[in-house]
Amino acid sequence: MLLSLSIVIFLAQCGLDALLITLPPPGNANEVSTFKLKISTVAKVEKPPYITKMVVGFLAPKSWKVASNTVVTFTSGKGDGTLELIPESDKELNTGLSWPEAAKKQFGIGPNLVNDLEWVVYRSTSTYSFETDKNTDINVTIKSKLGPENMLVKLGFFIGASREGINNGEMYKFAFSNAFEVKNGEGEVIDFFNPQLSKVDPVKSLDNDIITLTYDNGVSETVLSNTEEIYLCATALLDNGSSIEICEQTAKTKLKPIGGKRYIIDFWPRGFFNVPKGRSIVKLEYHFKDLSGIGKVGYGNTLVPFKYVFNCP
Amino acid sequence: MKNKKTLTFLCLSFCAIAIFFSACKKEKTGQTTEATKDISGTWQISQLTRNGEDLTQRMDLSKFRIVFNEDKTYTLVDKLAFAVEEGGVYSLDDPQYPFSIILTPQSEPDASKVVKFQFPVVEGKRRMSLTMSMGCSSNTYNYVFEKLQ
Repeated sequence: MLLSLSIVIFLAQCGLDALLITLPPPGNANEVSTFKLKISTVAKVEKPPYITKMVVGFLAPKSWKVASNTVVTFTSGKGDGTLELIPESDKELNTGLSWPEAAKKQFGIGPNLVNDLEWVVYRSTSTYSFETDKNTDINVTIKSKLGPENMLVKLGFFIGASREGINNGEMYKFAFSNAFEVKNGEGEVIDFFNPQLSKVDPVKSLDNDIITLTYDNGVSETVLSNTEEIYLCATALLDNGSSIEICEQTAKTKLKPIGGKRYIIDFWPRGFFNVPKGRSIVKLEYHFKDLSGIGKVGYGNTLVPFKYVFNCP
Repeated sequence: MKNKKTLTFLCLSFCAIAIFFSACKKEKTGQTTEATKDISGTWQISQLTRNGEDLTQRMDLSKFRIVFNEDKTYTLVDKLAFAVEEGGVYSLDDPQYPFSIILTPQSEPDASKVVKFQFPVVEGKRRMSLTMSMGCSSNTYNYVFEKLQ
C-alpha cells in the first residue's frame, strides 16, 4: 500500500498537535476511499474544563459531492463517535460566514490551481471536556465516494474546536495532502495542481455560460514564449455534428495579459461562435497563435488542440 | 333660579362631554404604503460577476441594454449571455416587494425564466440586481444594472 504522509508545522503553544494525513492508494472512480487523520490535543487550559465539539473540514473536488457521499468518524481517548454536517445556518464564530465559506476564506484551495473544489465541514455530535496537561490522541476516518472523473488532486483537511472557530491559529490545524489520484473514470485526467499551459474556468459549464480560457506562457518554452500578442483559434463542435471555426488575429480573439506571463480571454460561447438557435456546442477544440498565425501551441505544447467538453456537474 | 342653574349645569356638562369626545377623537394617521416598483426604462450593466468573480472590466458590456416598457414588455439590445435571448413580456412576483422577475420570451411562451431580483438604491441611484444561472446551475451570475437617464 502506498501511503502518503503530510505534516503541518507544529507550534509549541498550540492547542492541537501536528495534523497527520494518511492517504489511501489511488482510488477508482465512483468507489469509496478512506482518508485518515491523526492529531493530538496539547491541553493547556486556563480555566478548565474546556468544553467543545470537534470540527473537521474536508476539501475535495465538487464532483465528489462530499456532503452526500461521505461518512466521518473518529476514535479518541475520550470516546468514539460520528461527525455530522454543520448546518448552513450555523455560522463560524469569527467571520459570521457558514463554516465552508469560512474555511475557503481561511485556507483557500491550497496548492491546487483549478478552483473546482469545495470545503465540507463536520462536527462531533457530542461535546468533550479537556483539562490541562491531559493530552488526547484523536484519529479521524473519512470514507468518501470518489467522483466519476479521472484526476490528480491535493485534498485539504482541518481539525479544530467549535467554540473557537477557525480564525484563532492556535486552536486548529490544517494541511493539504500530497497528490491523490482517481483512475478508471471518465475523460482525460483533470490535473488540479500542476501548472497547465491552458485551463478553462468554470471547470463545468455549458455554451450559454461565460467561460474564461487562460494561457500560461511561463509554464514551458513554446513558440509563443517570445510574444505578448496571443490569439485564440477555436472550433466549436455542435450537437448536430457540424462545427464553427473562429481563427483570426483580431480584437475578438486577442487574449489580455493578467501578469505573470498569463493571458486570458472571456467569452460567451454561443455569442462568440454565433451558434444558431436550437443548436448547442458540445465540445471546444482550440489552439493559441501569435499575430502572424504561424506560431501555434496546443495541448502539452504540441499541435494537438486543447479540448473542453461542455457539461454540468 | 333653580332652572337657570340646571340649564347652566347641563350646558357645561354638554360642553365638557363634547370637549372630552373631541379630545379623544381618533387621530387620523397617514398609512404608509410601499410603492409599487416601477422598473420601466432602459437599463445598462454596471457590474457583472460570475461565481463572485468580477468580469465587468474584462468583457465589453457597454452595448447591452434591457428596456422594460410600461406595457410590461421588454426588449434586449445587443447580444450577451443572459437569462433570455430575445424580448417578450415581464412581471414581478410581487409588485411592492418583488424577489424575482419573470421573463417570458415572445417566441417561447412556455420558456419563462425566473430571475432573482433586487432593487436597491446605491449612492442615491436606483440599481437593479438580477441573479441567474444561464448554463450550469453551479454557475451563478449577478448583473447589476443602472438606469439610463
